[in-house]
Amino acid sequence: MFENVKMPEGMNPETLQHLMSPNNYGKLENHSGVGVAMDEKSGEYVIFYLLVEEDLIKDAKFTTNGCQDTLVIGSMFSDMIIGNDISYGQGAIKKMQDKLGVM
Amino acid sequence: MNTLFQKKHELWMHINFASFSINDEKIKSCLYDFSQIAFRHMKWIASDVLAHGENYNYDRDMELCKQDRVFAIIMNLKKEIEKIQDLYGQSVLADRLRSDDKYLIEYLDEVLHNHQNNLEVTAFNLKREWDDLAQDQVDALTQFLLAEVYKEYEVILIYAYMQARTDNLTQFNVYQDLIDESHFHLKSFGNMMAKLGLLNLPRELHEMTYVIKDLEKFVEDGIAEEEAAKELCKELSESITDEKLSKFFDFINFQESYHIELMKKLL
Repeated sequence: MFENVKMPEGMNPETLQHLMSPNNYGKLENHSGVGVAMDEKSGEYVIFYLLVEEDLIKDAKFTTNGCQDTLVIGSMFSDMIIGNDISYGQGAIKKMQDKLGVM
Repeated sequence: MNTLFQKKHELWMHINFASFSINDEKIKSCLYDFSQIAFRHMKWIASDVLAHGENYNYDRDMELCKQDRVFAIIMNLKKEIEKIQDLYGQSVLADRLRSDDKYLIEYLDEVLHNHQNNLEVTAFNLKREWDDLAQDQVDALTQFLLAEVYKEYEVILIYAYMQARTDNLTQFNVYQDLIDESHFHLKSFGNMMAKLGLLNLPRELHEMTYVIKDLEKFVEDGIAEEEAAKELCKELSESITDEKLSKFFDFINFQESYHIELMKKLL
């Protein structure tokens, strides 16, 4: 219903979209690998789930209690790697940094 | 995990966010009252689940009803209330839940009966306009609200989870105070999100967020977060030119200060 709504100037519309409805957020029940990172000092964590089949990242999800930056990065990063192979995923860190430069 | 608890959690959110989304003050206020009743339902169901040696979590499987007319929101709410009825079973609590829901459905029918109530819903239009605020101030307000709506939702559920598991009366009362305060903040920020046209559900909580193993560490982190929220409110209050809004954030800032005192009582 809001397909034709134009975002106002100012805040990056892509960032706002990731903030409002982060992609790939939640638990991935049938994951083949899971990584947990926690900042002991602040108590903030990120859990990252991967479903990998024959070197292909079939699905990825994440959850976090972290700040908005963590949320946006998790959403963008998971978007980037789904459907690609593991080596692409490893290289995606660099691409992610490039993306973050325009936030 | 307990399906009834999950569905009541979802229903609480449906009613709460329907209240935020509707501009008519009378309907908004009435729905908000019902959302508070639904939250108490959650609390009683949780207590019942624990008394039976079972457990529940805060998983959700729901979408926010984003429609541009009041009747579409109300009809969806009716559908959600009707869906949960079969899960109640037979008990004194179940009778109470059914009775409350029946009354709410009657109220919703009353709203639907008057076509003048079918006004436009602007809570999801993404316009991001706020009276005379400049775009950079709207951006700052947007970021603040997106972060804080999640934070308030998060702390309501964490405190409720801990309250359900304590036998200490002081702790129970502190949790209740913090829950009540956070409900007010969630309501204030939710309504502001709707005014900006950005209303959205806060993201789901993972167990790692609300299963607290070290109360002391939790309180320390909580105080640090309250301090950060105070700072954000202060910055926002100073940067916003709208006097009314600026005063509101000063008021919230002072409330956060008292939350720190309340939290210290938990130790």
